[in-house]
Amino acid sequence: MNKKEIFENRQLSWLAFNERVLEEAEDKKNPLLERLKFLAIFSSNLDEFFMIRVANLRILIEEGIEEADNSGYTPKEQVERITDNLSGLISRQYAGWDKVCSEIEQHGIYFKSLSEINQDLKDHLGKLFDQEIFPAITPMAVDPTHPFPFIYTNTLNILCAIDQGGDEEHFAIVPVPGILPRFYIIEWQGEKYFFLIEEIIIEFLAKLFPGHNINDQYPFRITRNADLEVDEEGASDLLKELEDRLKERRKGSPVRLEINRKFQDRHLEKFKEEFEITDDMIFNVDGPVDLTFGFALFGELAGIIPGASDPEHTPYYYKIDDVFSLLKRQDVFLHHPYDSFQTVIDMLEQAANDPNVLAIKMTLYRTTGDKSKVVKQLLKAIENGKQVTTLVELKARFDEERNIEWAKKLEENGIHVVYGVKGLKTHSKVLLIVRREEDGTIKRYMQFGTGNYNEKTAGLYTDVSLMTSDDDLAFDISAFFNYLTGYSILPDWRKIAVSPNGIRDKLLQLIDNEIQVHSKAGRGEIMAKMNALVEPGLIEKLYEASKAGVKITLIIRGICCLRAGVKGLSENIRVVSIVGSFLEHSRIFYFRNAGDEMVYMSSADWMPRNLFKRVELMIPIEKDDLKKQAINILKYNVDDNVKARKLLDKKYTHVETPKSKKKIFNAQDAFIKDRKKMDKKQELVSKSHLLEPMTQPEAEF
Amino acid sequence: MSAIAAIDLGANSIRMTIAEKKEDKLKILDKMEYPLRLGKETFLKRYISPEALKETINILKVFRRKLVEYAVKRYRAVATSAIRAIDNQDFFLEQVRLKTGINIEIIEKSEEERLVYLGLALEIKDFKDIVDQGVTFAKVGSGNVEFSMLKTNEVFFSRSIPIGGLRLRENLKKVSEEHFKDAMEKYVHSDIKMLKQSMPKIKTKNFFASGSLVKVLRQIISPSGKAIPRKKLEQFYKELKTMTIGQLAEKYDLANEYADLLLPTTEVYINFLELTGCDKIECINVSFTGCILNQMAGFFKSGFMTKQIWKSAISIGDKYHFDKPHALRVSELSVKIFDQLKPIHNLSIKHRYLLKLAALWHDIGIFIKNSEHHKHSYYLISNIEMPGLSSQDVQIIATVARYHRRSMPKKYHLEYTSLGNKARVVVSKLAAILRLADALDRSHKQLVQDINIDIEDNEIIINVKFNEGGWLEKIHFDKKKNLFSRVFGINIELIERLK
Repeated sequence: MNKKEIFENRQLSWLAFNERVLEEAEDKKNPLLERLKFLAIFSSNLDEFFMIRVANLRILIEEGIEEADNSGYTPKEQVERITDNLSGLISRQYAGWDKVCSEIEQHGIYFKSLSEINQDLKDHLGKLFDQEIFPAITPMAVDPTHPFPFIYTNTLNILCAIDQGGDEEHFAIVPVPGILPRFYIIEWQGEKYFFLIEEIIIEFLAKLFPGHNINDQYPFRITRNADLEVDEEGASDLLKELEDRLKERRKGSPVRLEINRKFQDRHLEKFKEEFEITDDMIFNVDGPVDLTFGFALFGELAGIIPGASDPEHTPYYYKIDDVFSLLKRQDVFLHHPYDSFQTVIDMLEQAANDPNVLAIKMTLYRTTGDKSKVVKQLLKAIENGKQVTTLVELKARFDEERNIEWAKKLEENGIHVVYGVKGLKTHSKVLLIVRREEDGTIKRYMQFGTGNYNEKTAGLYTDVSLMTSDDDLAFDISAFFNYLTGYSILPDWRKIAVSPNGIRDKLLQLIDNEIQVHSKAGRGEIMAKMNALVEPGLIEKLYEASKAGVKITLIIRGICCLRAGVKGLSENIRVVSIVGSFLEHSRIFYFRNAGDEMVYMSSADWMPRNLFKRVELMIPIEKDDLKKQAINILKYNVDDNVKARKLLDKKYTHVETPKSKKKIFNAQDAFIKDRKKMDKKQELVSKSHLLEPMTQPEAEF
Repeated sequence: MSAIAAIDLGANSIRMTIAEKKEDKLKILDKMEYPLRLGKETFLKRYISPEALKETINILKVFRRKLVEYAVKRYRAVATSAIRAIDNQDFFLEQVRLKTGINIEIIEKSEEERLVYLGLALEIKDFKDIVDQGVTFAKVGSGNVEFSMLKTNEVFFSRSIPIGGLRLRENLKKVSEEHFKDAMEKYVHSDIKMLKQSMPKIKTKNFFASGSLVKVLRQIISPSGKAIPRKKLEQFYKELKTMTIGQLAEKYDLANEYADLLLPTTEVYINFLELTGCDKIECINVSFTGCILNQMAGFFKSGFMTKQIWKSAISIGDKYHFDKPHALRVSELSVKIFDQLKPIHNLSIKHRYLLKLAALWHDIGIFIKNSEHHKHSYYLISNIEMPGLSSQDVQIIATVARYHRRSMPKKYHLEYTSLGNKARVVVSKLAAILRLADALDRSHKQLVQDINIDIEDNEIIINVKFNEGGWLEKIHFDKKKNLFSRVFGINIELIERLK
């Protein structure tokens, strides 16, 4: 078999994922505003895809690299395929936008172009322009004495072709002020109207260029390469280096130009030349450029159109009176966002205030900035005289600026801040609390997560948390922090596996073990839930297991370079993908191991970057009741017949939703329902009733 | 009980282990290992550079943070071969203490050995049976090779041989690569020959080895087993000789610095197996910090190995043809006096042990010449290496022996003044007791049957029962008691008790 027959290309698989997002926007069963949000997600996903993936491919092409990747595509072929696929997807996105608009109009909010409205309303907008918009605009002329100004990535601008009557035509750029809202909802004579700021600006453009003729105007947006590669070996001070880099980031080379009306040829040529843009980078969309304003519009309209969005989710809150005494007796497993992240914050809070706690250590990857409850508790702990160590990962993509700010603040307050490991991004999420117990012995309490210490995303992403005081894990995690802080070599781990390399080795070993066990005792089974599966070594190992007869179920939200259900290759592998209202983010791996089931949770996806270039953790879930809870998550996902898609070969198809209402099973809804059923007064100890079979169809497991 | 910690400044790395006592076991809480090759500098230059000092201090500051993290109240920080022999040792220790607040003590080779054996005893099941059969323990480090043998009621023998892989490489670095293998074999062979001459002529049934190098060997040669069979090791050696370092590193996925040391290490182990007649090497993992922690936690039974050590001590006397009955009697009497004078001298059990040895060896200088023999004893004793004794201990023993006769300690005696203040007091007290005991066997005929001491307000009475006329002893007692009254500020009288 050649490579194309073994692996799917990761970019194409990613596009297929974003297509699933788009399908959610198109799915009429979803509430109107949720569909609007999915349109915005589609756009913001695409922005990142261009800034990182496409940008990298472009660099490879520029460097003249023609080598094919694992899936057999050269960089050039990949860009071609991406561009091809995208044109269809983007048309669908804008068709979706039109649909959403017309439905919103049914609720009395009108999307009118300025040419369609009456003069009174136009005058009203004129006033708005004069008072609010005009003062914030600085047009920039482009002529022989003024070269093209630098256009920042992902900012909206208007290109104007102007002349003074008779003399030569030249360009001017009007940057749409980022500090102003992207759109206005105007109440006018009992009706509501939606206007984009760029449309208002264009309407009153003449006010910006008195004495000029305005021949043409085009809103546009340029996306640039944003991949951040810090030269760590050479940097004496990582923090300083990153600050400098960020200033440069804005200046990456362009990878995409978005416009929404056809440029005149003479304008386009000049523009292309100026920004070194080729035709295949230009996307002429049929509607507003950059639909990410859908997030903000969602916020505005949710208050105006009742019932058009999912009801706000209130997570189940496990209040633990004394987390330390509880964890001495048992472990706690949480499934966010169904279980509130507050329980984790509570643990930290108790640690910060407990006089017996000696030290707190944690990794901070992406957090909610200054208002972060996590940071607040860490500062509190310092005040209370505890030793606090944090590993702040400066290289968290797009969050660098925020992280640098923080790191400084933490350091100023006496927290020992470590800035990641050279050459490796620290992606693991772990909290370690060292406590001297009443009898003088040391006990350590930990929380492991698959998600970041970020209260905001903890409410939107599905993640799992394990809280435990297991001594072997404690030994490992102390050693892990020693290693991260750079003062110790890697020890022999007792229970955990650590990337780089360690997690992959362990996974290969576990799959091999399952193959062996299956050949002896049969019923080999692997289930794994992750965001992406890319690493070729693991994929081939899974094929091997499939050929050996091991039953494999993969729940992969995003990229999957494995071909599922292909005869002679992967007949025993099925792949399910769920795109729901919460972002599926937990990573749970299950190996049947002849009945002695092994379950792991991890911060790592099965991607080369997670397995080789990041510091990640994989933690065993050992207690039987907790194992059951983790396995239950996998089962629910597999049983979903509302949001699930099945991957067959390289193609995703929506699973058929049963006609009978009784048989409809939406995993994300089911998790919420389970918690509603819970007796709120019940102690956490008896969480086991979670395990009872729910209203699911005849689950074949 | 609070957590305890042990820090070890070794030749290749600085390690720390933090643990707490849980019932009769140690529960390891945390381990750190920072690879800092202090030994690489000190083996050749006998000097620690400012850079290495600075790095050591940086690491120890981190370790100190760890001590706070676990609220450790009791710790022990030791340095072994890398620091033991350096010329700027005092400055090094002082700087570390000033900058980090950590007090490092130098541990002697012999004490290190003893601790490792104690660690082995905890680590290995049926250790007693194994000792009955005889056990050899070896550790090929980068600088030195530790070799020791232990057998019940036989011996405890240990040597440190400077043929560690790193040192061999350094010493032979002027030899071209093509001749290196040959030169190394000869070099190792000559040192092994010297070892053969001095080691006891016994066979041991068990051969244990620890250290990272032997671990690498085991992983390569017998990945599934715990032991390396001699035959396989010899086969591997043949293969090694045909390969370059680069090939080796690649084939076995090794860091170059390991690959580099594999050949000399294998060579040394093969020689050891031949020497001891063992057919396999059992790899064990003895962490030195773990041994220290076990000792701190009081897990080592105090009687362990004392028999073998005492036997070694006597065999040293034999080597110098000492008057064994006399030596044993003086030793015995010294201890008796020591025990009964406890309220007066206020010394520790450790000092009792030093006195016991000083008394045993006090006359070995006669081997050289009778006149001035106390000075010869001093010299001979100060060069003794024995398990469980630090060099400071040996100095004290030697000095006590030196003062068993003739001149009392004087300010111009270099051997005396070079001891610290406290040690000088100890030496004087012990020498004063030794003099009394020596006097009580002046005839070398073991005439004293028993002694009994009364401590009175102005005087100490030592009641002695003689088997037969101890007149020589009585005269000498009066001659030799003056050091005692000077040191303790009280007069002592001998009274002969009749039956």
